[in-house]
Amino acid sequence: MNPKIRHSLFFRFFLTLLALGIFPMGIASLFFVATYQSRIRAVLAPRDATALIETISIQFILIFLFVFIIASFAAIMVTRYITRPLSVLTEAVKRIGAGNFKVHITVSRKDEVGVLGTFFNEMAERIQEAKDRQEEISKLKSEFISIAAHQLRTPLSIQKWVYQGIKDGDFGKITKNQREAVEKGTIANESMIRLVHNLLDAARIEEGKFGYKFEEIDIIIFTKKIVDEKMILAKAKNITLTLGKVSDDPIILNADPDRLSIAIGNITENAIRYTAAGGTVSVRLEADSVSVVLKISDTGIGISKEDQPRMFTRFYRGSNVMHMETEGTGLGLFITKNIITAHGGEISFHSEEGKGTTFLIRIPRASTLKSPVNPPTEPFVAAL
Amino acid sequence: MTTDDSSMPIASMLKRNEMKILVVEDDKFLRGLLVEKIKHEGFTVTEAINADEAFAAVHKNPPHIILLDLILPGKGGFEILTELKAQHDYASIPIIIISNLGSRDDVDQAMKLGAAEFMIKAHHTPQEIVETIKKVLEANYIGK
Repeated sequence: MNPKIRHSLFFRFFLTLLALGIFPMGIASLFFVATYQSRIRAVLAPRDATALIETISIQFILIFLFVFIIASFAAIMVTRYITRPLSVLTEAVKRIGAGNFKVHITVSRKDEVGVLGTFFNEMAERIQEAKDRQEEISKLKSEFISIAAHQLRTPLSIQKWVYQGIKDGDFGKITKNQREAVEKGTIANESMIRLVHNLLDAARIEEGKFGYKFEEIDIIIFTKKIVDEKMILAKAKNITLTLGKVSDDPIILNADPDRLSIAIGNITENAIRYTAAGGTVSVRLEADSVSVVLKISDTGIGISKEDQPRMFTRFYRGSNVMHMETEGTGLGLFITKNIITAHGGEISFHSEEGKGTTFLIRIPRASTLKSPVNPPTEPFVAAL
Repeated sequence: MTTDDSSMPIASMLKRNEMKILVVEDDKFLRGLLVEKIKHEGFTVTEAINADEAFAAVHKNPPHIILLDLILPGKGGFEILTELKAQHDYASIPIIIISNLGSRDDVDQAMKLGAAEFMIKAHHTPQEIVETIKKVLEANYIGK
């Protein structure tokens, strides 16, 4: 039998009611047979007795049939009375589970099911309130970050331009010591500008305004360019940066080149930054018919077991990197993950503290924009 | 520091101070730094701190190129850009946006409205801005 039917409430009620009807009937008929059969045969002629017993048997069978029909009918009634509100509640809970809290159930019943419905409505309202509040706070926070970051950009630009002017000799000749001091100022200034830039990107991601423009790119040329760009940093830190063997034919990918270059650039730059002088960072590119995989491995300080689960969270920085590189923003991996996800891809890593880290980025070759899944928002109103 | 690019035809015009540039920027300090740099390159510079001054300057003596900030007191850079591009006499003046806005939407909007370039102040030095000005001038006047 179909397990769905076997496990349904209807079937259970039906069996129970049927048993309730048939058991007493069965016992009654047993007693009847035991008590009266011999006496009937003793009193009546055998032909009459047989006829009587046949009649009684037919009556019993009719009663059995009647009980069967009544049990079915009652089971349907009871089940409908209980399961109809249940299926409404199930649908409502399903919507809440999917993230749509605009759910209201009209309650007219005064029984236990009605009470459940009332409490359900209250719960849905509370969740909606909490969600609204959360969204409001999140919006304010993103707005605050946007405004603060824009306000910071003007003084940071002035600093940058002044430092540059001094270095270019626009304000007169400068000594070697003065130049060194200005260089330090420049580094701090650039790191602040980068922080502000990352803050703005993170705020845009949260506001859903981080737009994507997809086009066809050759991932080989693309990756070579990134590796070339990061070569300067690697050389400055005395780290060997290599790009593994790649195929001669172009590998075409549907991607947003600016965004993807931020993502892959971030991972490569992290690998260089968190590897001690003399170490190696290798970028490997593999492709099959469905996806492209980038493997970026370093021989760096690694990520501790405790830090690993939180690596893609905003503002989170590994406990062992703080004293190595003071200027990280803790936003790079958050932004990176969002970009990779928007390409329909995934990013993961495995790392051993003190030995190194390997990041894996897998992007489907026919990726198109994956917008965050929005729950259905049309209100749901039903009656119990 | 003056870059030696006398190979560019624009350079000879700059030597004779023939290139007129309008700088629309409300921040006094940034404007000062930028104007200083541009003057040094041989441009004839007019300054404006808001939309009214910018329009007045354009009407009085149309520049060869405009550097335009987006966030200004009163009428913003996007509106100035729209209005200038809508006026037949001035529509062909190339406009470089120099702003601290810089989201993709802002850039897209500015380019759609007809800006020649979009530069984020915090990400470019005055020297890079000067290079871009020359590049845009080349493309708009010499190349034609």
